[in-house]
Amino acid sequence: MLINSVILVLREVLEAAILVTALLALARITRLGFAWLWPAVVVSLLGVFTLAAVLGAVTDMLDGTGQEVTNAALQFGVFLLVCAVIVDVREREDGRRYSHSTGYLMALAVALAATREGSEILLYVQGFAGIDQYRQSVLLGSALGAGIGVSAGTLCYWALVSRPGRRAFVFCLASLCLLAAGMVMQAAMLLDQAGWIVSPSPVWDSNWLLSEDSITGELLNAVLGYEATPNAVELGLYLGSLALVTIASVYAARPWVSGEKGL
Amino acid sequence: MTSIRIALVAMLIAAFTLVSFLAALLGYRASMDKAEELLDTQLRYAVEILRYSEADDVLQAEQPSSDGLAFQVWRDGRLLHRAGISGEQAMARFAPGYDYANFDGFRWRTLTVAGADDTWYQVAERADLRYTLAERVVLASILPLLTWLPVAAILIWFLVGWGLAPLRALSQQINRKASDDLEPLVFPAPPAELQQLVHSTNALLARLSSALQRERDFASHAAHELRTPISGLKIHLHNLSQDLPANHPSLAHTRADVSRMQHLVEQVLDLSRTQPELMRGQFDSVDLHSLAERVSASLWPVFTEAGLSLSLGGGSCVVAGDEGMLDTLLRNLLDNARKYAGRGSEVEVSTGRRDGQACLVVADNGPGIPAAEREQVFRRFYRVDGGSGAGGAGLGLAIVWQIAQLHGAEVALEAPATGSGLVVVVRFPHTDGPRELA
Repeated sequence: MLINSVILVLREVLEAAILVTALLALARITRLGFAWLWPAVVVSLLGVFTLAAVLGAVTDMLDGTGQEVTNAALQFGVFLLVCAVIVDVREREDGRRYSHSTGYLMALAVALAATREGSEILLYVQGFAGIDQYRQSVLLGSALGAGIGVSAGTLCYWALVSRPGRRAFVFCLASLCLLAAGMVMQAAMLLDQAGWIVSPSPVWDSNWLLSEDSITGELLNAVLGYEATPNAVELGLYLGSLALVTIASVYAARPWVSGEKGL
Repeated sequence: MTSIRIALVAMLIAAFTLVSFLAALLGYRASMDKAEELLDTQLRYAVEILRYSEADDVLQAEQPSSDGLAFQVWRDGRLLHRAGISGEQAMARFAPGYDYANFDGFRWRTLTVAGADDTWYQVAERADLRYTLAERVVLASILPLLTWLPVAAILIWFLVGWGLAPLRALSQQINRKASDDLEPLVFPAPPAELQQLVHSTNALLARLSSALQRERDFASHAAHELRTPISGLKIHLHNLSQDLPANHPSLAHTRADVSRMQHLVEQVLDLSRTQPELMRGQFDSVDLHSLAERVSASLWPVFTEAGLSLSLGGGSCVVAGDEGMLDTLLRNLLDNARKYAGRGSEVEVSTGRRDGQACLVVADNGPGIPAAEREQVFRRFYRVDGGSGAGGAGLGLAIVWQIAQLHGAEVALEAPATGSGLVVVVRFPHTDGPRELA
């Protein structure tokens, strides 16, 4: 039970931690500051408790696929917000790499991601912590999972910001690209589960190399959207989103060009 | 601003948490594997007991159930004995060894052993219950890791602070240094990481000290070397004036040029002498009013000749300072007023206190300085409108500002409350003077 709790909480916390880490590092590198973090925390808490409270009703919607569709919508939302953040950190004429809306976009991206991950953790812990037999192992496992996830995020943050300025910026954008495309992949998998995507046969099966059910496979699924048996639609969505976010990153990473008025 | 201490503490706590939690998980898995081995051994003992009991014929067909344990004895495909299981189906496949099976609504760990005469002994233990005790024991050993984490964090905070103490001591020593203190840093046995920094800083201070000494020597030598030929020029000019008509234009121009050159040389030397980096003078108590009285008296004839009136106001006002430098400061302010206020203007020098600060004020009712230029006039060689009609080199106010800096004083250029003109206020940090200025 302890290991199950650790893995479940870790995969949710790790995904959110890496996103927050990359955005915090980006805010530091672009000199935006961290003022946006506090509203993000408040909105995240509101989102987590609200979604956890209505999840029962949500699950019953859309012929019982409400939860999958809601989670997929949240994942797509985070993807779009990350793309908007990346475009918004392009260099301006005065050398600035942020606008008055950058903080709002970052806060909203964090809030959406935290709402999805946090509500799942909350429901899991609430569900099992009520059973005497499992209480200790679930609470302890959740604490260990959260500790490992947050620690990994903290170390990633310092690893990112301790790079020289230009390289750190590129590393941040690359992390966000992989993370955002991974979220689209997870959203596609959720829609597949909900039956919203017609599932053709898998394009490949890499379970022999890395099983989806292994700890590494689960963590890679959480962070990068790893899927051992992707179908053509999932693969197309993943590659399309990766291409889109990469184009946005290349655009943002360019130095300011004289005469350009921005997007 | 990034704090090295906070960054180090955050990184160390994160690394400590990550490694210790992962180690705890590995320990948990290893302990649970070991517990499974022990529990499997117990299951084997149970089968042995079952075999001996069956051989001694002490078993009934249906034994009372034991919580979480079940067994069956099969012979020739018939169920002979059972306990803890409701149905009559086999608990596991008839193959020797351990396995897992689901029945009676639970998951069970099973052990099947083959006996003689096609007899099969099967023992099962509920999987959820058999690990409960083992898990509790293992979790109890992991829990302190979590509860002691805040203690580790506090310890790391203090240890990092202790480790950074030499860096703090070095920065405090540099902070405490006065601006003119170029003595090397005293840091006996610095840690290896700071050795290079201390060495480089001391080398820089030594080079700076040597450069300033050279500049000090230059100022004193130049004073003598520049004044001597100017004095010679003046003597020769005086001799020439005996042979030329008194109103000879070349004579008048040469006199004016030599005079301007002498003034410029004096100002350049004043500027050089009063550089804060070069000054090592000791401050005494100076009464600004007495000083103003003396300087005004000595300049009064020049003002009268230029058609300006000069008056003195205020009262006794003592500051800590260098009398010679303050003399130069006031002379420059009055010289400025005389040059730029224009014929017929009134210049007033006053001393006293404003808001507890000793002040020296020179006010005139001349054209004044436009507000936009008041900051710039303290720059060297800056002249209002860039003109040279008044004959100044643009160094007077730069010298005033420098001397004020040396005394910790502030110079402000203000417009008078009524009419045109300029009010120069020099505010000193402390004063013992009794009078408040209006």
